Amino acid sequence: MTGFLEHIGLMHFLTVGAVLFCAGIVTVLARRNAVGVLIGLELVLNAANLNLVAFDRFGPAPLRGSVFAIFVLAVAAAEAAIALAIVLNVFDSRDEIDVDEVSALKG
Amino acid sequence: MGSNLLTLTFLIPLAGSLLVLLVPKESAGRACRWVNLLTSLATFGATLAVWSGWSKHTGGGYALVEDAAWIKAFSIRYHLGVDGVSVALLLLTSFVSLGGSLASWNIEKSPKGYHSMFLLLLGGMIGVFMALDMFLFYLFWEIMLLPMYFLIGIWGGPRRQYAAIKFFLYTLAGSVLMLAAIVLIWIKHGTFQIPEIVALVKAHGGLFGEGAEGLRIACFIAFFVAFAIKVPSFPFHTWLPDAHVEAPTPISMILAGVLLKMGGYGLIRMAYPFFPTAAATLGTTIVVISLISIVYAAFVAMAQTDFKKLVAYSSVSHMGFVTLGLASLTPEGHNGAMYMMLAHGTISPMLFMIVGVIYERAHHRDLDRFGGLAWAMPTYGVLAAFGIFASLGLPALSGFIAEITVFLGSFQSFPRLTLVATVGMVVTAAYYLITLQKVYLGDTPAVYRDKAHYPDVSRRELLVLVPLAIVTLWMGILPDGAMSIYRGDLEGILEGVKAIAGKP
Amino acid sequence: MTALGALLPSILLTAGVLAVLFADAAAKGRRPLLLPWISGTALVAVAAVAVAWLAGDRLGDRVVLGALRMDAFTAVLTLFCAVAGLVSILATLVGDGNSRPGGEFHALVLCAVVGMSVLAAAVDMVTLYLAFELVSITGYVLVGMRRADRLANEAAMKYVLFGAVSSGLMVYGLSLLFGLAGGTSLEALRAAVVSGASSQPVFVAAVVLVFAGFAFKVSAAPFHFWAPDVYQGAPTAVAGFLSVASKAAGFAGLVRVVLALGAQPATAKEPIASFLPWGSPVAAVLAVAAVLTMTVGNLAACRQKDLKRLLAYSSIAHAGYMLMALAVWTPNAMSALVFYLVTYLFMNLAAFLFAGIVVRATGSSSIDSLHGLGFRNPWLAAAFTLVMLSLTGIPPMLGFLGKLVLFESVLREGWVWFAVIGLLNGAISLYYYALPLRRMYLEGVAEGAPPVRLAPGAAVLAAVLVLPVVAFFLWWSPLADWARTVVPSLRIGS
Repeated sequence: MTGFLEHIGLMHFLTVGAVLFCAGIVTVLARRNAVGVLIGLELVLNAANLNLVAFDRFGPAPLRGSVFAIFVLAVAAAEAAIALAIVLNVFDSRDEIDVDEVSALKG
Repeated sequence: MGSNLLTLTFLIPLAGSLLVLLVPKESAGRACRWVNLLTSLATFGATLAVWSGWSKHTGGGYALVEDAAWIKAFSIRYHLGVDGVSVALLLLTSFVSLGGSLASWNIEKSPKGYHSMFLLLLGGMIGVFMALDMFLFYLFWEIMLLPMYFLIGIWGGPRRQYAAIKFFLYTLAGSVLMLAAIVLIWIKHGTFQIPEIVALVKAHGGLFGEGAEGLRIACFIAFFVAFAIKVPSFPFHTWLPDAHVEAPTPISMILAGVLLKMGGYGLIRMAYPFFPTAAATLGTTIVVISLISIVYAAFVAMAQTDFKKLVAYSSVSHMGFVTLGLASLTPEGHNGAMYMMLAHGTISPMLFMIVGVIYERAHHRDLDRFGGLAWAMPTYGVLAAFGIFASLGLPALSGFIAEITVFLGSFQSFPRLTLVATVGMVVTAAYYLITLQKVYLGDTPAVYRDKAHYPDVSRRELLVLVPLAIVTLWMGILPDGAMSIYRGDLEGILEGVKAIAGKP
Repeated sequence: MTALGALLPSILLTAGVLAVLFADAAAKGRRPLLLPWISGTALVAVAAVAVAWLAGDRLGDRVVLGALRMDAFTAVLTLFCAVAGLVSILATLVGDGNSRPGGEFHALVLCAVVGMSVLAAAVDMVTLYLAFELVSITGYVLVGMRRADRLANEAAMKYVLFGAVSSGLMVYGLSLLFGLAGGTSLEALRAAVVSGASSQPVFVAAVVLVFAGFAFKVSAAPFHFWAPDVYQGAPTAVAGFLSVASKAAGFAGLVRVVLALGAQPATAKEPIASFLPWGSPVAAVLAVAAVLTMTVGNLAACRQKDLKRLLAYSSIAHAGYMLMALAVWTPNAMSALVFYLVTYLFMNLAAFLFAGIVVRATGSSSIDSLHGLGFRNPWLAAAFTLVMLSLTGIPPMLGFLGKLVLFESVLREGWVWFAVIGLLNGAISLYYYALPLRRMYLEGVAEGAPPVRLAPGAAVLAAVLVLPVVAFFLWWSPLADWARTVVPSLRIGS
């Protein structure tokens, strides 16, 4: 089993990251529900985190990437909290969080 | 140095413009027009002082120069000065504005705003004729844009919005082109000073160095289009009839009397001296444009039924002589072009006032509905006939001298093409005589016999019309008087142009 | 400069945030004038610190704490954002007591300014990202602060979704750049670029992703869609603050990032000269974004009926002009950018101030609510006119000077086509900036239109903003010179 793990290199992590990123973007673009968009966003952020940690593991600057990743996690949490609060507020005022339907502002 | 006369001259109207804003609301109507009139008088006095100051100046070049560092980062200077050409136009400006100020006596809608804008416009016009720094020139040039926009747009006729916006867009388009050329000159030569650039042209045989003829032609075209819009030359003239028809009478007077002259002034002061070779290369093109302006506008004028529109198109036609004369690159041609600017600058305000007088009484300007006004309003009839004859180029009046001088110059350079212009003169005579016949002679319809609604010209109207008529007559009989102001400097500029343009 | 000195603005502002929150809690639901006093004092103190930095020449031009570069650019942007914050806070005082925002508004504005001042100084990807997010998150809350306002809710939702996704793109790009650089500092990134990392395809992808984040922040096309909705829905003072300070901070961060992407190391004499030769992918991306942004902004603005939306598209167009300077990227262009930002500060804050006054008086932000304003309140209309003309770039207004300096720097590099596109855009913009003028002056007075009053405080604030817009042309040499002195110190390393 160890032999198998040793074959996993940087590129594997990056590939998984890229797949996650693409999945996240597709979710963001395809979902009309605001919460769905936020879920897609989490995938994108985690793709970035995976990259950061992977580069950390294989790169020349130990810990830098992990620290960056922790900050990204913290910011993502704050962002999600704010976003959910705002979305909830919109839902309260019009029972609707479909991003296409919430469109009093346009022109 | 030492004298601040020029600064004072353009500050007087600007100060007046602010003063108008401070007038209390209750007495606004009466107080504002007096502030306007007194400020215009003071400005006229100041330009007379400039004239006398300039005539004491010896040794050529610019007189009463004020030159101080201003924006060091871009080597922009506060540089004012006058030569004969600018003095003549300054006198014209303040003289016509004085008439315009009197003609504005009856403005009732927001008088504070009107008179303030009027004086701001005057300040801008005065500044344009004195600025020797291109940046400063451009600022003054643009400062006029706004008051004009509002004066047409707020105090104009029924289609004022359209006319104001059209005027604004045309003028702005032209000035953006001019700005691009100015900035290009600055980037290549590091100066905004008009005298310095002329000296550079003289020293190196042209701007931008060897082999940049394409760039020179492009820059000349930019300048030419910017000024041709103001002149206005075909095909950039379409804003003018709209603006004139909608503008209130005094603003039409100033528009025709002064604003159009800025185009000619710009050509004389900047476009030709900066790019002599390009001007020579494009000479024939400019002549053709001028001829189209002269002939086409005359025919269009003939087709008009609106009196004011007719006068407006006749302006386009007459101003064609200015570009025609300049394109000839002969002393007579340039002399005539400048004389045309002065002659047209006094005759056309007079005609617009004449239209304004009858419009105020009849509330329409339809040529076909008038008739026999000369019998109903005799003094008015005489003045109107005088204005019409002056404009169609009757000998012994100023328009004739201007046209004949332009012809003398233009024949030397473009003998065959110039003949075309005679068509324009004939058509001009025709439509003016028809107008005279329709409006002033013949039977007087009953409506116009009503003395209560159609009184003869008032004293105030006489005060506007008679001085303009006197100047027209004086310029027609004694042309040397006005010519002597600008001739020396104008020929100096032309020699500079020819010295470079003559060389391949 | 010591670490403490470098952090002084952040410390002052954070103290202000705490003081505001305590004062607000103690006020028990009332909205005392103490709050604006506290936040105002904090911002004035920060502005004073920035001025002292600039005047005292003690910045040292080096990196402090491995993350903040203390140079004139940092000081200028700190000053800029503090002033914008101060004006926005003052603008909210103009209305009556009930419409005054609560303590959270003041706290959030101060937090946002912390983020902006750090973003301008950041030369480390982590710091950059954190500052960026601090500005964004406070912005989301500021926009949605009025919870009962449906339009504000919607605006906040659009803002947060758009912003979160673009910052997600950015952080993914940053993670790739981190991998290429082998470190989080921008200097490490530059070292990697110089040694050839920029030839890898993934580099271009990462740069585009990072730019996407900044494009959102400065409202550049195609990441501008949020701006009209957000500016229309948000409280006017907040919209003004975002359109000026948030945009400027975005540009500051973008400038630092572009500094790191240069192909050649900067020399002491010419830090950024011919640094991005035409044809380099980075310059191409910026140039395309500039053209796209100004064109989209100006064209879309032409068909707006809402004043705040119109101003939003106008601010998008202005972002396009500023991107031109970034694409040209010469010392001249960078000083033009600084100059332009200063002109933009005055014009745009004034425009939003007037929009706010009109909205408050008429209850509508439609352009039609300006009908006859020229006769209902001549002074307000005149000031508004001057600001609109300035935004168009009509001489002799401040906006004209900004455009003059900017286009001069573009033409000087011979990018004639670029300047022509910019000038054409300026011509288009005349159309929509003239729309409010037509409503105010040319269409007469509407019967029974409510009077629009200008409170004394608002008049003073308006005068402070409009006076430079009108009179600055008389003497702008110092600003032009000063904008040039800012540029040489602009680096990312020590």
